[in-house]
Amino acid sequence: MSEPIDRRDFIKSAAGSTVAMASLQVFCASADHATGCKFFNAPQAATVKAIAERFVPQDDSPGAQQAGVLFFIDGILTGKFGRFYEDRYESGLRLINELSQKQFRHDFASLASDQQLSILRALESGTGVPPEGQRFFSLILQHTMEGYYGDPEHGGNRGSASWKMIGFEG
Amino acid sequence: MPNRKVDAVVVGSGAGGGIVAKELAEAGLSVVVFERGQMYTKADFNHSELGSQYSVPPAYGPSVLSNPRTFRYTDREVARVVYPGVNDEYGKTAAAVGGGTLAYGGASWRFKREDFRMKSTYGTIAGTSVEDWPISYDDLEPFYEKAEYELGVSGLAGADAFAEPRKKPYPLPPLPINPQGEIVRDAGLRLGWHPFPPPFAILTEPYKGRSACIQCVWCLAHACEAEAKSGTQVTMLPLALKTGKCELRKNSFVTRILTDGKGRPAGVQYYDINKQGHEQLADLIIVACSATESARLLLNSSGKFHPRGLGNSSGQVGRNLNDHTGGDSYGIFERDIPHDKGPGPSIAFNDWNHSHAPGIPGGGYIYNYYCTLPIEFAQTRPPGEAMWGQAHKEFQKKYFHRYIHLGSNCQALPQEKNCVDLDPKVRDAWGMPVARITHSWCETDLKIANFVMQKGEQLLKEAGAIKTWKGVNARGGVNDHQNGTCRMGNDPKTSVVNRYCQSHDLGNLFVTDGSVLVTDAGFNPALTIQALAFWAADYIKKEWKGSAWRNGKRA
Repeated sequence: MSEPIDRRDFIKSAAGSTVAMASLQVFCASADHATGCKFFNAPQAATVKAIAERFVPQDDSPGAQQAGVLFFIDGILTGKFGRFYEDRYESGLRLINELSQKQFRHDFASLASDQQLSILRALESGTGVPPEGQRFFSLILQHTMEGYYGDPEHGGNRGSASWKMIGFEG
Repeated sequence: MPNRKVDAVVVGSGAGGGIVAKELAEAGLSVVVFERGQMYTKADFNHSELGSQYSVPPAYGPSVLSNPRTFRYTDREVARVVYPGVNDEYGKTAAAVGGGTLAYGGASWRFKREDFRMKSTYGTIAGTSVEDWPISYDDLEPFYEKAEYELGVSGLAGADAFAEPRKKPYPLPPLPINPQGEIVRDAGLRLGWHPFPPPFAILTEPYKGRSACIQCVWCLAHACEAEAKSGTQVTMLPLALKTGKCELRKNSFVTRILTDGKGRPAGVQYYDINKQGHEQLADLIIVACSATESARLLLNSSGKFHPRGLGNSSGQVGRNLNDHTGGDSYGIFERDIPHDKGPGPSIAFNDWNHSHAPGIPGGGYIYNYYCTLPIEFAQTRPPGEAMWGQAHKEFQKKYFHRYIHLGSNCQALPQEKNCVDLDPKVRDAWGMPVARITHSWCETDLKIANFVMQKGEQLLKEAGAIKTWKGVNARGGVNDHQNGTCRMGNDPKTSVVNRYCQSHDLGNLFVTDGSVLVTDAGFNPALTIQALAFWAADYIKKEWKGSAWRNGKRA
């Protein structure tokens, strides 16, 4: 809401401050975005969609996919503060697909649901995965819950599905 | 054109600054209040868990990219860069007209007698810098009363069996007791505890031209569209401006306190919204921009006469940075418990605040918490319960309306090594060194929090919870009750300001925010900061004459 100082000013002022600079990456747009996405390419989008759906599966009420969680997260990454998360998503999704390939010879999105669950459980507990894998798990879990249970105006929770499900009237 | 010199500059428009500005302006002094944030209006307010003061970006500032800090748990680590909203350890205080009181929860407690006498009550506590205050509850009582009446605080006098005596009732009746409150009240009575409706700076009836609380569920971390929350932006600042003696200079960031040829504070250097630098000269400088930023401003104002920072001959500026440990207890039930009437808190217990249980100095109050929101609930589960997947979804459906959250603010003990100093490398958007925060809680802090949370679980079990659990304390980091970086005391060698919040070193320099708290009590600090602001302003009004002190002493 309040961001009077623009990014160019910030970079300028942060120059000479190596610690601050290290945490920032310039966002490079790539051409091959997944449908409806402005950050994720198609394989990344498929991975995010599959992870989010395991986090909040569809039953008699919508799952993460139907609630638009992918687009909510894509919105975070292309938003004003996406730079805090871009690297972590790029490397986190890569790591998850590497683990999936290593264990089951397919990308995460193509795995059977019990295989997907086993990968996610390993990431959650940190078993046999690097610490950044566990940290990325926490981040995408947090973003998924925000997208599914948050205010529909922010791009997720389409049709207020989760609010209807739990009886929250706002 | 240069700014005209004024009698007083107040840096910060929040709990402390807003009050001093109003008091001095009404006494006829010319005042400029500086606020780095903007003035938010109802059009900026929202009902959204993703648009609150706890979101990225924080709804009411500070602006994320311009205001980094650095954080480390201990001085053995290299501090890492943290940003508002993005990193929990940064702290959650708003940067806006009204400061932290714009989107706070409004809890308005008076501290207890023991809270001003922690060392006398509990003795020296190893590894901590616990001290007595230079003032007592009785000194502050008239100013607590003034704060309650001027701001508009609701509560029920005499209802808290452990509260200190008060001369007048609250100006407004307490918030209505909601179904969760009724359940914990009855359970508490069965345990022999002492339930009562807690005090809030939330109007329950129209008061001084503002309307009563509409009982929405979005209170905490949101600004109030009914203006029922008694933040300084709707209480003190309008009165200050009405005098015609006070100017509010918002979007203006004070970077240094200026000194004259003899090292005496003479004004401030600040940047406006267009990043143009200006000076504002004044006879009195009142610093009230939160415990982190006030200490940083004094340290950033070092110079020939003040090599360690302004008002820092003691070396204590920035030391003893403190904040409450949380203290959450949760319970799930087999019956529906509506929580659709806000703000939520309606019953509290002080049985475990200074209960003098062995090994527990201080303690904390317990109260039923603000209304539960969907994301918050999705992230709250008993140990061992799924945090995602079908089981998580089932839990969300089944227990969202079968749940009670008890909160607390448990006393944490000050430690000298917890501090704010200047980061050697990182600078903000104005080129100033940022605050480097070093903070972790000590073992006793966590013992106190666990003690209180266990009592909370006991209460929930008595209320019929089928399962209870405790919140997990983080290791450290400031939250929104930061305090202690410019402690008050009688000895200039060991404290920064005297009993009137006046710098020991420089008579025309005051600090009137959470910085001056000696210890933080098991209570939210807002009303004590506000009472201290009225107390300090009272001293200034009595003793200040023109551009000198009445007793003839040079400022």
